[in-house]
Amino acid sequence: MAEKTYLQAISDSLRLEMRRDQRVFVLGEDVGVYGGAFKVTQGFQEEFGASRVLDMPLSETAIVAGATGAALMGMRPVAEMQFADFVSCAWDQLVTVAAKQHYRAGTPIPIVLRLPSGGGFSGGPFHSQNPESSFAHIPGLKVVCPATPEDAKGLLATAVEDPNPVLFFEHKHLYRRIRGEVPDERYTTPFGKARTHRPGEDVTVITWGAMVYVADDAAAKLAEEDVSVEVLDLRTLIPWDRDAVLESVARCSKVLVLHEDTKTGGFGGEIAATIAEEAFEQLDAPVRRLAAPDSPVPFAPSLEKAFIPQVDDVAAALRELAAY
Amino acid sequence: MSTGTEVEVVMPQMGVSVSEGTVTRWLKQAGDAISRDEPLLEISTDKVDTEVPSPGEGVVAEIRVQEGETVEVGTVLALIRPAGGEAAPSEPTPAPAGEQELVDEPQAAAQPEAEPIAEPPAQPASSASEPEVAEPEVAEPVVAGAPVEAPAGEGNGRTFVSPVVARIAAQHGVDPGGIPGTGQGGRVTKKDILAFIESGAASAPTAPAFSSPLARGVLSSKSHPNDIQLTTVYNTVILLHRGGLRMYLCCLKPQN
Repeated sequence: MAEKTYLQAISDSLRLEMRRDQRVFVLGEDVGVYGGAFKVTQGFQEEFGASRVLDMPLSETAIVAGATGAALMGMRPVAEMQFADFVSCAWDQLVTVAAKQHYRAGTPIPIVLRLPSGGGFSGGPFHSQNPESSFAHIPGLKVVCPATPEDAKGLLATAVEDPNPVLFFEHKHLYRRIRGEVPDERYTTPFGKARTHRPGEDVTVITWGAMVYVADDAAAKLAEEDVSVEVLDLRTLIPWDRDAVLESVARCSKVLVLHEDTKTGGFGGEIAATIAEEAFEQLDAPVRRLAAPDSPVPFAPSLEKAFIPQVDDVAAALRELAAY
Repeated sequence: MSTGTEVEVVMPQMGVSVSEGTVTRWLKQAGDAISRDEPLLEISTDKVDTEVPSPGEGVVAEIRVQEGETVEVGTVLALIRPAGGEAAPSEPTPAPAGEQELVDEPQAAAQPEAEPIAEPPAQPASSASEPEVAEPEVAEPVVAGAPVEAPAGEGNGRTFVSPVVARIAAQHGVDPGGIPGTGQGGRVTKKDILAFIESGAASAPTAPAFSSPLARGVLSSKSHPNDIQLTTVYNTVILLHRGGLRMYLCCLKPQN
């Protein structure tokens, strides 16, 4: 065990996968000589050579298409999108080809797309999005959103092993801000198993990614007001842990679904609807959603702060639910 | 620009590079009544052929550009005069829709306040306009109200029983109406009913005191899963369907 940043944990995991399995290689913009825009693959070319750490042209379409083709030929590519936002350039290769290949032809596509996502650093509308729900909607894709260094390492290993295309959303704001104990050895963390970040019994917050920490800070505030808040970290959206959500709802009976993505069409709607369908008789208050407003992510720090749910926003929503 | 009593219909700019347009057909003639946004004429430009909706409501007072004529963007094509003639106090400026978009609460859209705002152009100014102005303000407190209101018309939280409280009440044969509530508006929360049961204040289900029609109805429906039972207790109605898997809550006037 050693204390690692979220970014170091991702880098370590990727390195271990490449050492373990010759089929694993990385490709992306500036991942080789430069070591990646966020330095996740720093030193990789030295260790694994340029043929396993490929600098690609400025074309997400080529990156995802290349990865898909390599996967068809038996490789296990891990492609980096410099920013998650740019995966939209590769929509057709990902959604039309990779996601449907197994259904159409029975051939697995074991690719991982690493997607640096999320805001909080004035990156503006092209470098701050959380597009997870767009891909959660596509049958054939898996969607992973780790919140802790330990999960980032274990979930990335699981993603590399998975025979399907996996979208691995790494929250940029967590890269160097979040540290935690991470086992040195290789391990896998299963998809579809939520993690109780903070146990509680009055209100439950269901969230993922960077919002786990916002929820936790809000829960600490509510604890001072004698309200016990549970924070459930979904870890993966496809598949997502319905059992854990419904169990938490049955205990707390009041639910806040929180995400950094915009509200309309966000994955929180799916969770809220499932709770309404399957746990109606467990509810002691309406299911509440808290998310970013339906707008592009603003540049200005003051506006971005108003856009991304903050600790006080979450605390206010929790207070309302507790008082209901 | 409007004179205050009339609205000018101008040749719209259909694209950044488009400087002129041709009137191809008038859909209304001078003297015809027209409502706002109703198609008034058809135009043809380099970029697109389209209908032009009326920017105001009333009567087509004047048509200035005839069919087949080509004019520059911004040229006045027609005038719309409010019905009844003169002096409408406010200009029915073509709505920049922004105001509507800012309204976030779904409740706000349902408020009647939209009506008075739209009315002035159609009505001559009169003393009657004063009470109308007051109306939207009446609606505001409703919009500003707590987002999680009990559905009861009287706004008394005690009349709303949440699904989980209803289920616990049914399981324990407890009447929620007799439990002190600490929730919003005195609503009985899950914690309240659990504490009530825990305290032993709820009598054993076999005791004669157990006469709640709610409890009887629930128990009998559970023993006959395919029955549909309708029972009332105080002013809450619970409709149980197929063994209580689905519950619908609504409110009636007190029965006893």
